[in-house]
Amino acid sequence: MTVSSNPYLEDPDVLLFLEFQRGDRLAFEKLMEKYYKRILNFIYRFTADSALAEDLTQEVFIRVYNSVSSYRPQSKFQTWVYTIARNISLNQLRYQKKKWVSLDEAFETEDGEVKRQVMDLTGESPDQEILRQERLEAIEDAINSLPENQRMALILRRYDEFSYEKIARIMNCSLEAVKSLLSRARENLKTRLSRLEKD
Amino acid sequence: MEKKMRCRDIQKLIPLFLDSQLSPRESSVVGEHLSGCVLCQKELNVYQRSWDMLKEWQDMQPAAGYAARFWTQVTSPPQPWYTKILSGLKEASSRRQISPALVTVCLVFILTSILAKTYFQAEQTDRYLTRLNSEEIELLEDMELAQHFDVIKNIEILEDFDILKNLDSLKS
Repeated sequence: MTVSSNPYLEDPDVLLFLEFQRGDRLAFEKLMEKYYKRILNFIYRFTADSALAEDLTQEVFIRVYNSVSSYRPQSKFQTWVYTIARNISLNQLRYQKKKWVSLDEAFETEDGEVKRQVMDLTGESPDQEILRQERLEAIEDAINSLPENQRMALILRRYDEFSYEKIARIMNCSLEAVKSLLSRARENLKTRLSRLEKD
Repeated sequence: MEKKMRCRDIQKLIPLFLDSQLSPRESSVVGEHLSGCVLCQKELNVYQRSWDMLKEWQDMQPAAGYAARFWTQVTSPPQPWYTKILSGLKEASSRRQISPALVTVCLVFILTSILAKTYFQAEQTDRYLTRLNSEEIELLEDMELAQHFDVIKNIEILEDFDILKNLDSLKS
C-alpha cells in the first residue's frame, strides 16, 4: 500500500499506530498521551458520569490496542478512535438508561420528602462559589437534556472543535444531518440557557 | 406580517450563519438582514452567549495512574471463567445493572434446590421401603386405599374385595 493509494498514510497518528503494529510500544504511549484526555472528556460530557467515563475510556484504548493485528488505515486515526468512543458510549447509555434528576425537583425517600438542596438562582444573593456551581450545573443539565444525537454532535463541535464533515464521519451520517442536529441543539440550548441569563 | 415571517426564517439560519455553514448567497442575505434588524441581532447575541457559556464546563483530568492501569489490563494473563463471572457481577452491582445477572443466578439456585430436594426425597423413601417387611408394606398399601375410600367404595367391581370391608376400621 503506497501513500498515493491510501491518503490516510499521511496522517502522523496513523503512522504512529503502524509503528506500534511493528512492535513499538512507545508509539502507542504517544497516541495515548495525545488522545486519552480528549476521549475521556468527550465521554464524560456525553455520559455526565466521571467514574463511568474513566472506565469507558480505558475500554476504548483496550479496543484500539486489541485491534492492532487487524488494523488497516481506512480513516484518520482521530476519526477512528472517536468513532470507537462514540459506539462504546452509545452502547453504555442504551444499556443503562440514566435518570437525569433536575435540581428543581423534590424527591421522596423513606424519611419523607427531600426538598431541593441547592438554592434558587432567583433567590437571595448566594456567595460566588455557589452561584458559579449552580450555573455550571445548569449548563450540564442543558446539555444532558438534549437528545443523544444532538448532544453528541454538539460536544464534538463545541469541545472538540471538529468540522461538520468530521462530525458526519464520526457519527456515520450525512453533512445535512449534522447541520440539522447542530441547529436544533443550539436552538434548544439557547432556550434553556437564556433563562439562566435572565435569572 | 411579511417582516415577521422573514425574521423567523432568518433566525432559523442563525446557528449555521454563526458556524459559517451557509452558502455565500445565504450568508449575504442573512448578514444584510441582520445589519438592519435589531430583533434578529438580539437573537444572534443570545445564540452567541449561550454558545460561549458552554465553555464554562471545563475538562476533567484523567485519574492518576490511568496509563499504568491500562497496561496492567492489556498485559495481564486472561482470567479464569469464575473470576470473570465474579468481576462481572461486581461491576454490574456497582453500576446498578445487577438485575439480569441476579435473576439468572436466582433461577439457577432455585432449580438446583428443587432438583436436589426431589432426588434426596426419592432416595430416602427407597431407603425406608427396603427396611420394611411384607406386613408393613401391606399395611401401607391399605392406608393408601383408605385415603381414597370415598372413591373406591363407589366402584361396583370392587364391592366383593375383602379389603374394602375392613377399610372403615382402617380409616378410623
